[in-house]
Parts: sequence; C-alpha cells; structure tokens
Amino acid sequence: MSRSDFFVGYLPASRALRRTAVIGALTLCGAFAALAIALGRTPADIGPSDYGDDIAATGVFVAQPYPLLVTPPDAAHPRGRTLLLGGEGKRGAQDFGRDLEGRVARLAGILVRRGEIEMALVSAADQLQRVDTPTSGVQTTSLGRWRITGEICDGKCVAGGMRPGAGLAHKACANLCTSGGLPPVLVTARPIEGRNYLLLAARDGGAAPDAVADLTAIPVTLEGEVMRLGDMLILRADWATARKF
Amino acid sequence: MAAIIVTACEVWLAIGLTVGLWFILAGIERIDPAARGAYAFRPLLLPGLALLWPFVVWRWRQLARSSGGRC
Amino acid sequence: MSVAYTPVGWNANKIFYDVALGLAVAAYLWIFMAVAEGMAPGARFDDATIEMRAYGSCAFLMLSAILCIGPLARLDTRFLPVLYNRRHFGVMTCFVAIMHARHVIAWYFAFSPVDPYVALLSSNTSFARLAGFPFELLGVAALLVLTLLAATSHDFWLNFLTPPRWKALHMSIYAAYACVVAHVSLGALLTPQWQAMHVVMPACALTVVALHLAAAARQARLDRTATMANEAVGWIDVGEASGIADGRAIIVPLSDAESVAIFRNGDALGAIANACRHQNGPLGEGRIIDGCVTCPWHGFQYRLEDGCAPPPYTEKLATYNLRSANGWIQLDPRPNPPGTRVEPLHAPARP
Repeated sequence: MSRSDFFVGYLPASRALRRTAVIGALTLCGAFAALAIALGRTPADIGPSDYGDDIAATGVFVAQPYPLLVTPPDAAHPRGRTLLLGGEGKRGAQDFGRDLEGRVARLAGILVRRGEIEMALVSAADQLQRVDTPTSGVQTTSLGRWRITGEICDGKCVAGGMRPGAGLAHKACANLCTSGGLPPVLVTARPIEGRNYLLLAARDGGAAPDAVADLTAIPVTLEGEVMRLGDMLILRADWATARKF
Repeated sequence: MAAIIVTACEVWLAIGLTVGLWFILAGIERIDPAARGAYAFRPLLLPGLALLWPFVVWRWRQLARSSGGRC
Repeated sequence: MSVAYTPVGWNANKIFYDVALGLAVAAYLWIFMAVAEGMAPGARFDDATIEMRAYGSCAFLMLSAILCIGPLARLDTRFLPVLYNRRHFGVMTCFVAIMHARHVIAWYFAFSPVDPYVALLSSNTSFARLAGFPFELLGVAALLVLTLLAATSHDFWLNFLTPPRWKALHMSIYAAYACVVAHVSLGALLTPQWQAMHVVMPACALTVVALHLAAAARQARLDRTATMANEAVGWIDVGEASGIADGRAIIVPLSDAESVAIFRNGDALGAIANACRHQNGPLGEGRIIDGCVTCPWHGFQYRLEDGCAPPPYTEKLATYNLRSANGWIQLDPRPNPPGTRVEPLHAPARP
C-alpha cells in the first residue's frame, strides 16, 4: 500500500507531507508573529516616570507615619516640598534618621518621580545627615474629615520604581513593599485639594496597619482626617470602615 | 505558614533527589530491562523522580519483588 | 519497550518539528518584546514586566495549541503528524512557563528581606475576593503540573507508572489549563490596559472547549453504532469481508470502552485490540506497514496474527477470533490473552 498519505514519525515523510509540514510550520510562525504584534502592544497610560536622578535637599525630618523630609518653602513649592523617603529595594527608610525626628537633615539620595509623586531613596546613613540648624519644626494642619476613593499603591513603585507599579498584577509586590516599610499611598480618582495622592497613616498618625494589604491594588473608599504637611496630604484613615468595590 | 510550606518543599525535593540518584544509579536496571546499559537518558528522569519520590519508592519495591514478571 | 532507552529518539521529523516550533516561539518572544519596548515612554513597561508578559502569553498560547492537537487529530487525520511529537511541544511550553515564573519571582518577589518563595506564598492573602485574588498561586499550581508532566514525558515513565496511570497523570493537563485560564483572567485580564489579551484569551479557551466538544460528539456518534454490538451475545456480525480495504481496518466498539480493530493484510483478516499499548492510540486508524499494524500516533507496530510487537519490542495486545458466515465476518467479542496466536481468516478482498 502507499505510505504517502500515512505518517509514521520515524519513517521519511513523503514529498506531499513535507510540503504540508513546511506550510504548517510557516503558518504557525506567522500566527505567533501576528499574535506577538497584537499582544506586545500594551498601551498603558501610566505616565512617564524618572528613576535615577540625584537629589540633594535640606529640610526637617519627620519619622511618622513614614520617613519624610519637608523642605522650606520656595517659589516652586510655596508650602514647602515634602519628599517621601524610601530605602533600597522593598525596604522603607526607617533604618535611617532614627535620631533626626523634628531636626534639620541634609539628604543626598536618588529621586524617583511620576507626576507629583516623589520619593527620595536612601541606602546609606551618610545620605541623610543631621545639620545643626535651628528649626521650629513643621506644622501639620487638619483639613477636616474626608471620604476619598482611589487605589492604594506602594509609594515607591507607583512613583516609578516599577512600571506600571500599580494595578492588580502588582498587588503582591505592593504588599511586599508596604510590609517592608515603604509608605502606602492612595492615588485618588479625583484631585483632592489639588493633589492626586495622599500618604496613608493610621488613625493615630502612626504607620498604616497591616490590614492595608487586603486593600491594595483595588478601588477602595477610605474615610478619615486629612492632614497637610508641607505640600503633602496625609490621610489618617479609619481602617475599619474602608470599603472595597 | 508560608515559610513552613517552602521548607517542606525543599525537604521534599532534597529527599526526592537523594532517592532519585539512588534509583538511577542502583535501582533502575533491576526493574526495567530497557535501562540496562543505557545511561544518557537517566539524568532526564531526575526531576520526575524528585517530584514523585514516594510513589517511586512504592513502585520500585513493588517491581523489585515481582521482578521477572515484566517485559 | 525493551530496546535500550535514549534521551530523545531523534529522527528527521522530530528535528523538523522542534526547529519549526522553536522558530515560532523565538519569533513570538522577539517580536513581542520589540513591539512592547517600542511603546511611547508614558506607556512603556519595565523590561522585566515586558519579558514576563511575553513569556507568560507565549506559554498560554502554546498550551492552548497543545490542547487543540488531540481533538483536531480525532476530527481530521491530517493533524496526526502534529500529534506525533506533541511531548516536545509540552516540554518546550514548560520551559517557557518557567521563564515567565522566573521573571515574576525575580521582579515582583525580589529586592525584599523576605525570601522570594515565602513572599510568593504570603504577600497576598485576599483569597475571599475575585479582584485581588492571589492569582499567582493559580499559576504556581499550573506550573507544578506542567513541570510534573514534562518531567514524566520520557517513555521510561510510561513503563514505570504503567500506561493507565501515566495517561491519568497526563490528563491533569486539563486541570493545569483551567488554572492558567483563571490565572490570566484574575491577573492580566483585570489589568485593563492589555486589550488584545481580552480577545485572545477567551478566543483560545473557547477554541479548546469547542474542539473537545466536536471530538466528543464524533466519538459519541461512533459509540452509538456500538450499542448494537454491545447488545449482541456471542459472535457479532461486523460486515462484509470486502468492506475492509487492504492494509486498513474497521473498528468494532465493544462494551467497557474496549474496541477491536479488524485489519486486512492481503487476503488475510485478523483482529486485535484497538488501543495501542504505548498511549492508547487508535490502532484501527493506522495502516499495515511492512506486514505490521502501525499505530497512527507514534508508529508502534504489532503483528496482526498474534498481537505481539516485532522483536526486540515486547508489547502484546489481545487478539480476537474471527469467522466467516455467508460472506459476512463475525467477531467473537471475548478477547484472547495478549499475544495469543490466531490463524488469519482468509477472505479475498474482492469476491
């Protein structure tokens, strides 16, 4: 009988079968190439971010709820510029500036920035040094109680530490970051007092509770007291009343 | 809890690799004639032996007892 | 099998298959990354994210393709050559999936004081929610199955586990695919930017389901014809001797999911079990080549007269008795012990 129409893997394929195989292989490659063109386009509107510029600044160090540096007002920052501080990798900057609370410090770090979300990265003690300049500290003012909707992200990745650095695929990473001491922020659905994000804190002004992990990367509504520190807004949230969608 | 699971997996694989090495060095020829004199394919079996080692031990004993009853 | 094992039984067809598949995968990954890296600065993801998406989506497409091969080959025998080397397709898919996982571990779960694998298991515990569910763990489950199947793909395992256990183990590919679909649905699909994936993922999953339904419907039609035979007691009429072409077979389904292949080799007719000892391939859809019944899946061969694989192979199939009655062939549905010699029934192809 003719073998030409019956394929046995270990026998030489017939000419007809070889032709079919070449066409099949080209079809497979073509289909995969077309799918790659379609799926490779991921038009995420995440906005441009910068990672790696040096930043040098002098300001008042604030340890709670998360390490912050508040610089004096200038033309670009009439209320002063409040920088989030972060450490190396998925660690907060809590190891640095332990004795600096309320004092003036000089920062020499690396800036991560997306839009108005800015974080200065510090990886060694000499990058955040005490300066013997007298200061009257910084004022935290209350803007009253608010109910705000947005997405909770870790302040480092959403600032450009990772791109996109937000969204559900990033949830586990965001949790790992916040559990490592990096500040969680609420990226708001609409601007609040001209700002698009708030630093999150516990109701008493301390670091956000561990329960924040269940709320990251999904749309949430948080209620609480909004505080202003320099040009940054801080939400001292009632975590028990947080609503998930 | 997660740390316990990860450690358990590491222990599982460590035992599995030991059993697997023992099997491909000492056991395989007795229970499968097609493995006699064939060495190059044996490392390919290690991942499977490491993952399935309790079954491997059971089947190894079973086949060793009834050796000769197989083709 | 009794011929000494080799790592891979290479032949020209397998090499062509692997090269073609490797080229398709390389083209996919290269083009995906080139396109993604060419996006505008505001829309450009990290290299690590691009790579994990490239490998992840590639593994998903490959797994979908693998699951289509079986039913396609049932529906149209022209797809049988694709089935022949399917295990290499599976192993390659496993490697691509491992690359995806490596990028995820080395990016999302690295740079932390917590061990990456501990972090993978512990950093998201929102099990009660769909949006926010730790979809990574579904990927872990699927990867574990893929790895297990790739690790047990050598023919040694078929003998060591026994064919029924091997088959049962490898059916868990469907559980893995379900996990992958859930993994993609709860991860990539809930990231609203990846529009194309919203089309490709459901299209692939639906194709896999539709092809399996179509193949099952075909099998059900075949089985319906079997019920007549099932009800018969004793010898079964299976048709006229001239109805079997030379070198080909007819398949007679019996009860208990068994079926018999009745082959013609010249003037001789013989009946053997239809399921190949290798992977249950349908022998009755095969041919007689060099005097031996040859499985359409991987080319395993058996002698028609006694169901034995030719030396040095040692597989044995059950044989069945045939008789002729008024030009009709009749089959005794009781199998002989595997390897039992049965005198061929002489029946000229054209009376």
